[in-house]
Amino acid sequence: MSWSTARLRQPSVIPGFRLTLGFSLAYLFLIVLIPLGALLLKAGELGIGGILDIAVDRRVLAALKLSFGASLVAALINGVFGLMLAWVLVRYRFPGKKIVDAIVDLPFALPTAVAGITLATLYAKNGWVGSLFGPQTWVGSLFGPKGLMIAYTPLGVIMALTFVGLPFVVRTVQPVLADFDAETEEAAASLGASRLSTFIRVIFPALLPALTTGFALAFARAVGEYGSVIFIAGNIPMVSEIAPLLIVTKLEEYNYAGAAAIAVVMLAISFVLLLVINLLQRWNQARMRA
Amino acid sequence: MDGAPRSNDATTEGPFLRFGLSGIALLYLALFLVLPLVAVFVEAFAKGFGPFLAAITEPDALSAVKLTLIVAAISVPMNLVFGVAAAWAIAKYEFWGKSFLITLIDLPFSVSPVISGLVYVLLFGAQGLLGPWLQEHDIKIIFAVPGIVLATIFVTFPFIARELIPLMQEQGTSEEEAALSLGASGWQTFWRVTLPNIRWGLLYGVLLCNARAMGEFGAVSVVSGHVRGLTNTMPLHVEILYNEYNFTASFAVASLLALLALVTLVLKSVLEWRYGDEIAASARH
Amino acid sequence: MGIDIKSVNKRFGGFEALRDVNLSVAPGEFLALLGPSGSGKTTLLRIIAGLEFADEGQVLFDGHDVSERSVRDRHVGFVFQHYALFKHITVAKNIAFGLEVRPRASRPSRQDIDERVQRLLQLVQLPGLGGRYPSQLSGGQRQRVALARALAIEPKVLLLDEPFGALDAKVRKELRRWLRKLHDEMGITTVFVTHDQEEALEIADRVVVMSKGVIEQVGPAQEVYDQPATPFVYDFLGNTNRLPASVRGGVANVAGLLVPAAEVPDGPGIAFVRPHEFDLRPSGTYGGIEGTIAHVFANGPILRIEVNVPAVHVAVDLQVEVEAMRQGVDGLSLTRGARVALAPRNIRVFPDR
Repeated sequence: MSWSTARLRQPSVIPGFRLTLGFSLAYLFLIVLIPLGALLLKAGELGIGGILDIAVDRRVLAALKLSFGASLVAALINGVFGLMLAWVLVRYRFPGKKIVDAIVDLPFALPTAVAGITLATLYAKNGWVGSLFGPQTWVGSLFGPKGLMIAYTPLGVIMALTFVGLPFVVRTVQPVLADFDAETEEAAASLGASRLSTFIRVIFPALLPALTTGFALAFARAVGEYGSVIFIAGNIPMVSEIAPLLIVTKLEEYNYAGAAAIAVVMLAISFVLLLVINLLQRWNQARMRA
Repeated sequence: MDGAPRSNDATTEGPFLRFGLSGIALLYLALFLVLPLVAVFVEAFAKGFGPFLAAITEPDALSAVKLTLIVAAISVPMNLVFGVAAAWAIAKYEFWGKSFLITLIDLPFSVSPVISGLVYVLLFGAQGLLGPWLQEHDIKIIFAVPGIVLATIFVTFPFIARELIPLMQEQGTSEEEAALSLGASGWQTFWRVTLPNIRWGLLYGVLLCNARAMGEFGAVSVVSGHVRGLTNTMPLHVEILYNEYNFTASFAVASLLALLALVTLVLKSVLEWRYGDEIAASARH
Repeated sequence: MGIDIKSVNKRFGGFEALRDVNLSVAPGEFLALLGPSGSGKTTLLRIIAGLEFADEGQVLFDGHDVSERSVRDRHVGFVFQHYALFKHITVAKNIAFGLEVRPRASRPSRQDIDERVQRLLQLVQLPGLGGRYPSQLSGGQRQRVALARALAIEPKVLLLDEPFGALDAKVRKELRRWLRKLHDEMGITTVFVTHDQEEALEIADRVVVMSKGVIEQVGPAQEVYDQPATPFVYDFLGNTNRLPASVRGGVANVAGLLVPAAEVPDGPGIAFVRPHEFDLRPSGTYGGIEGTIAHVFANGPILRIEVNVPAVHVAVDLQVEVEAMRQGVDGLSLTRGARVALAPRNIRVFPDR
C-alpha cells in the first residue's frame, strides 16, 4: 500500500461522510453497544468463576442443554425439509406455487406470541394435532399407555423452534439452487452419472455452503427464541425450561447478576458455534476459489 | 423447456420422485405453517362473532393496540433514519473498518430478544447502572413506555440498514457524481437521485421492520412490567389473556396480529414480484 | 462411429427450432455446425447428445436408433461452452468423474482410473495440474480439462458446443488447431457448433451451414465458401456485395453488365460478388461495371476501396466494396473521384424474393 492510500478513508466527491457515519456510529453506540456493554459489566462483577458457578448450576445447565439441544434438532429438521422445499419451489411447477413461496416467510412475519399460543393449542392433549397422538389413538398407542405428549415436553419445544427456523434454510438455498448452472448437471449426466449420483456428487456439494448458512441462522434464531416456546414448553424446571426463560425468571427475582451471567454464557456458546461454522465456510470457499 | 418432462430427460427426476418430494415438502409446509395460521382464526371465532368483537373492543385491548401503534410509530422512523444514514456511509465511501461496522449493525439479530430487553434493565432498571440517577430525577424508563420503545428499536435495529446496504452498494456512486457535477447540492442529490433509486428497497425494509416492531414479544415483555392498560402491547395482552385461560379473547387479539402478518406477507410478495430488480436480490430473507 | 439424423423436427412452444433436418456424419469425420444464433445448430447438437429430444424424426448411431435413449446411455463426449467443470473437486477428480460413477461391476480399479487420468492430462498438455481446482486454471486450460473429462469415458463421438466461444482470440486460434491435430491422431467422430465462420472453415472437414432451423448447405469448407448454394450462405460466409439485377431469358443485367443466369426465372434478381473477386480495370474496359472511387482505405498490403456506381443502369446509386492487393493495381490512379471499371471474376445471381 502506498502512503497516499494508507489513510483511514479514500477521498470521495460525495458529501455527507462525516454526517452519516457520525450519526450511524452514535446511534449504534447508544442503542446497541453501550447496553450490551452494560451486560458485560454486570456479568463481569461476578468474575469468570462466578459466572461459571451459575452456569454449572443443575437447573441452568439443564436449561442450556435443552435450548441448544432442541435448537440443534430443530435446525436439522429444517435443514432436511428446507432443502426439499427449496428444491420443489425452484425445480417443479405446480398450481399455487407463488402463494406457497410467499407463505414460507410466515414465521418471520407472525408475532412469536401468536405462534406460541397457537402451537400450544394445536399440540395440547386435546388440540387438533395433539389429540392424534393421545393414548386412545392407534398412533398414540405406539408410544406407550400415555400416548405421545407433545405440548409441555421437550418435543413441544422442538416443534416451536422448527416453526420459527423454517424460512432460513429455504431462503438461503433457494437463490443458489436457482442460479445453479444447468450445464453442470448435463455434464454429469453426459458422463453417465445417474440422477442420484449427480445430486450427491455435483449438486449437493454446491448447495452445502448455503445449506450450512441457513442451518446456522435457523440454529442461532432458535437458541434465543422465547415467545413461541414458552407457551408450549410448560416450563417445568429441569425438563422443559429454556435458557431465555430462566433469564426472565432471574430478572423477576431481581437477580440481575444471575440473569446477566446466563445471558453471557448463552452469547458465548452461540458466538463460538457461529465462529466455527464461519471458519469452516471460509476454509471451504478458499479451497474452491484460491 | 416446454411440455411435460420426459422420463429419459437427464436433468429432472422421474414422476414418482417428483410427486413424492413435492408431496412431502408441501405437507411439511401445511403442517407447520398453514395449520397454525388457520387455527388462529378458528380459535378467535370459536364462540362466534360477538365475543370476538367484545374482546378486541374492550378498553384494555384498545389501549394495547394504541401502545403498539405508538411504539411502531416511534421506532420505525428512528431505524429508518439510521438505516439510510448507515447505508449512505457504507455504500458511498471506502473507509477503514467498514466490514466490521456491517457486522456490528447485524449484531441485534444474533442476540436473543430476552437479552435485548435484559440489557436495558441492567442499564436503566432500579438496580441498573443508571438506575439510582434516574430515580433521583424521577425518570421512568423500565416498566414504562420509553423502555418498550428502546427494546423495540434494539430488536428491529438492522432491518432497514441491511436492506439498503447491498442495494446502494450495487448502485454505486456514478449517478450521485453525475448529479454533483451538474451543480446539485448534497441534499438535492439525495432527494432527487438517491432516494428514487432506493425507494422500493426502503419500503421493503420498512415493511419488515414494522411487522417485527408491532409483533415483538420477548424483549418488550422483559422491560414492560405488564401493567394492564398502561404498558401492555398487543402481544403482551395476548399473553395475559392466554394465561388467564381467556382463550377466545386471547386468540381474538392474536388474530389481529396474524392479519397484520398476512398483510405484510402480501405486500412483501407484491414488492418482490413487481420491483424485484429494485430490491437487492441478496437481501431477500 | 457414424451418425444419421433423419427428418428431425423440434419446436419450443411457438418457436420452430429445427425443421425437417437430415444429416449424415461419416465415421472419423470432423464436422462443423455453423450458423447465427437461433439457427438451431445447438439444438441439433443437443439432440444428437440426448440432452434434448426431437419431436419427430430419428437419431441413429451406427445404424441403431438411439432417439429415445437418455444422454446417460448414449456414451457421447460432450464439451460445454462454459466448460461446466465441477468447481468443488480437483482437475483429476473432474476427469475421473465419468469412470467413478459407473456401477461397481464396470468401474475400473482405482489404479486404472489414476493411470487413465494421468494419460489424459498428458494428452491435453496439462501434466502435473491434476491437484488444482478449476478456479485456479485459465480459460484455455479449463476447456482442455473439459475435453479430457469428456474423453475419459472413451466416447465414440465427441460433441462440442461453441468450445472456444468464451476464450480470447489468440487462445482460441491455438486451441482449435490443437483440437484438429488431436482429432487427426485419435480419429474420433467429432461434431462442433460455432458461429465463427473462420473457425469452421479452418478446421472442419465439412461445414453444415444452418439458418432458422434449416440446413442451407453441407459441403467441404472450401466448397461452401467458394460456391455458396443460397443467398443466406453468401451473406453469412465472408463479406459480399449485393447488387440488384434484372433477369430475362437466362441472362442477368447487373448495373449494365450482362451475366449468365441460366437457372434464374425472369424478373428481379440479386447478384453476389465478394469484394476480393473484383478486378480493377481502367474505365471503359469491356466487361466491367463503371463507377467512381469514393474512398480508399489502406490496410497494410490490402486496399479497401468504395466505389460509387451511379443509378444509370440500376434503380438507385450503389456503393460497391472492392478489396485488392496493393501491387495488383499498379498503374491505376486510385484517387477519390477517379473512374474505374469493376470486372467480377466470380458472380452468382439468385432470384430476388
